[in-house]
Amino acid sequence: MSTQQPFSIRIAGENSLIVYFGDQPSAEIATQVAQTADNLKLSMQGLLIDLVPSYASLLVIYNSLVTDHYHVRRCIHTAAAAAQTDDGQNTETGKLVSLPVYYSTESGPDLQSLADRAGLSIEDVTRIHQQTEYRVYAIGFAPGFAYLGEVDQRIAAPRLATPRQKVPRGAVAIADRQTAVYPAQSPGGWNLIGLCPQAMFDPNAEPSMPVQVGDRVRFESIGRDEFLSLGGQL
Amino acid sequence: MNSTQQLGLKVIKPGIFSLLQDSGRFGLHSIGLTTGGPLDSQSFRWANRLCHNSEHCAAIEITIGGLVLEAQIDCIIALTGADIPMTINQQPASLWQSHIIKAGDRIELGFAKSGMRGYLAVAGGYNAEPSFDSISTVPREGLGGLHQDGKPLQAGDQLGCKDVPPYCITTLRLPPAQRPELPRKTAKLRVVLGYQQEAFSNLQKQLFFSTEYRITESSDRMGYRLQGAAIKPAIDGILSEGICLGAIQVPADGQPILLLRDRQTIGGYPKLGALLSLDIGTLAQLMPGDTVSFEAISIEQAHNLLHLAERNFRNIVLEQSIDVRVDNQPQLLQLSQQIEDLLVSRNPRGMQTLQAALSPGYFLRAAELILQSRGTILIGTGFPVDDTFETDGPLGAFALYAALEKLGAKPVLVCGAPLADSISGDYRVHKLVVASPATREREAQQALDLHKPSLVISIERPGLTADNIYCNMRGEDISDRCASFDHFLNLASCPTIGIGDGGNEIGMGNLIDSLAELNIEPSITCCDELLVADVSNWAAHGLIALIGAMRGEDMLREWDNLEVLRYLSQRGSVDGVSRQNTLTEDSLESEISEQLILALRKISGFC
Repeated sequence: MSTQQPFSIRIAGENSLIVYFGDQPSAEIATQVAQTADNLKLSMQGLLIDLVPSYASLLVIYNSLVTDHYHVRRCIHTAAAAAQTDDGQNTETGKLVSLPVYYSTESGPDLQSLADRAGLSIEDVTRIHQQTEYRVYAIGFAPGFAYLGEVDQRIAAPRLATPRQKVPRGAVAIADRQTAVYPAQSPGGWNLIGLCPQAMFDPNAEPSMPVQVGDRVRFESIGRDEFLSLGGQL
Repeated sequence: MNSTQQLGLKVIKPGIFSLLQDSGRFGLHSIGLTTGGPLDSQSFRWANRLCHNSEHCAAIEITIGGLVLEAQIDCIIALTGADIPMTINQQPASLWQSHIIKAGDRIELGFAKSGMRGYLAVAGGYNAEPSFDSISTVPREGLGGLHQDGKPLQAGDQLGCKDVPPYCITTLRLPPAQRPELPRKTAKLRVVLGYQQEAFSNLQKQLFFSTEYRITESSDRMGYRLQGAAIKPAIDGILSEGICLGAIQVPADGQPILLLRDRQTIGGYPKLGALLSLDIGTLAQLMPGDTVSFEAISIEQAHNLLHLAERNFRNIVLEQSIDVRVDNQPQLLQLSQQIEDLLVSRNPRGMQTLQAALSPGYFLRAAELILQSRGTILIGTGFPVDDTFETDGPLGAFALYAALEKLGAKPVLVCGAPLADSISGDYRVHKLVVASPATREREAQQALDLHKPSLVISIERPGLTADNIYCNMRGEDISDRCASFDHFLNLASCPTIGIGDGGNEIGMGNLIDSLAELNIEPSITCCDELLVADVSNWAAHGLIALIGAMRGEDMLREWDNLEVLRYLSQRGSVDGVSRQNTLTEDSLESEISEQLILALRKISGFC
């Protein structure tokens, strides 16, 4: 049985309420956030402007000209209560997405230093990175940037003291107990351990992202040749 | 044709920072996309309204100024917002009003004397391929804009827009007293406390609300960074969470950041609450070095202020004037008035009384609204009689539907059962259901969100009375079988036209005082332009005749009135007066309508 997390609702702004499901991220809470969001999309049609699911919260932005915060609170209560009932039935929620990674010092410039710091071999680091089934806790920072948790304590690593000006598109990275694939070239301070050839964000694709909040992700090691044949660039 | 190659306005100089912005990108925060959209949304809305646009149309957000455009086609423009001097062919042109532009004209913007951001709209909006349903440019995300790459306008860019035919003659002006006031170096911004506000002690809050903060140089569309008394919450950081528009974020150094349209979607700094959205437009007009202070309001106050502002926006009447550069206006106005007189000449239900209260030229103004709209046009019709519907209304709606298709628009008929079901094979139809009063607004909003109309027309559709019910001409309450179309007009973000022949139809709210003289349960629902006629269908023909005259085309020539009456009769229509399934409109034989149509064609110069 899953634990029934109590939730609280607070005002965020003139047309926004934020629902808190806890103060620590967990797979159960991620499921609850995702399901509450799905339920609200259905029950608040015509009233909803946008939803922002995150680690343990859900921001609900509504059209304040056609509804008010009292009504939205009632919608949230119903949606969150239904989500709690659902996850008791099924803990394997969210789809499982497998992402290929070319782990190497060539594709992951911080792999060696991360291994040294952890007192592990490069092989150990990449094996441990693949062993965990991660949960998509939040999407933000840049379009398509999915925060995945939680990274095994043994390979957790703090952010770089000086962020890089350019992290390449597809970079697989670790910061503290989170991991992510950079959807596009951008500045960034995470530790780079490999490259993923799959697009994490494509405005012209439907859907434009392979994952959404609440989904599960596994990484699978691929070789250099396969990485290149899948369209990866070094 | 590729939208980037479409004719319209050519960018000669892009100015300091000019971005295409529509109302924004919504429903995509869950994949990390921000909303974008205009920083000063009130000025943006006005620019569009002055061009008769829906408020979702794209306009150019001009920061400081310097934009120079050259027109390749005839069009209508309006500039609002910051006090940016504008010239058209070196002649000064006023802000807050629409201007008719001819191909070859040069539009030059100087630099803001006061304020920070201007909005330049064009009738019909700028064409660009949308990214995620929106044209809004977000440089940080590389999304939107003319080339879908998030770049600001560049010299040589060609902004495709609609060719406005030369007969468009009236321009609109927002009266000076109604214009949003530009802040002078400082502003007080209203705040709804929220998020982690409890983590800020009373002392810290007092400090925040009593400090005058300076706007720093590192302020942009993502956020305005402030400098002043540092405030400290009792917590350091939080789990990253969703950030709403206007959120007041307090990072470790205690200097607040006001997060705006291009804000990041999630973040891990404590937040004190969020600005009232109405004040974000004011903030957007302030420059680095200017100051702001804050005052707290409750969410209920915020709600009331938002509703009040919306009501004020809708109730403000724009001044109309004749553009001096057009010469055929007097003839068109005269034709419009001839049509207006002809259509009420039989006067069976006292429409002459109402006509006297309308400002002459209403058919011309309605025709212009139609000619300037593009995309989807919703036409609500159908007056319930017993279990079926009457011939007056649908016939005129069909005539408008055909004419609008000829003009390149996408009309959609909005009606209830059984009419909706019986014609859905032949027309695009949005079906209304009989709903409880409490859900009517919501259903209208959903339909508006779905269709995003550029114009809403109601023809012979029952309108709500002051008692919030529907009544027929006999004064009988028909609320239990009458679906509601009123809120389509009330909530529409585009122009609206109402057509009626009795006083109980949608749109008649415009003449509520004159209706007291008629023996009727009047409707209180208003519209932008009200048309009256002895038979509502005839107003449709009159409108089409006038549009035809403006286009130089005999648009009523192919209309077969009797054939359309047969079509309706086969689907169970009844005459609204006799309640019999006959080939008549308001008890008048088809021949009478045919004579009227012939007369309309004659006065518009076709036969």
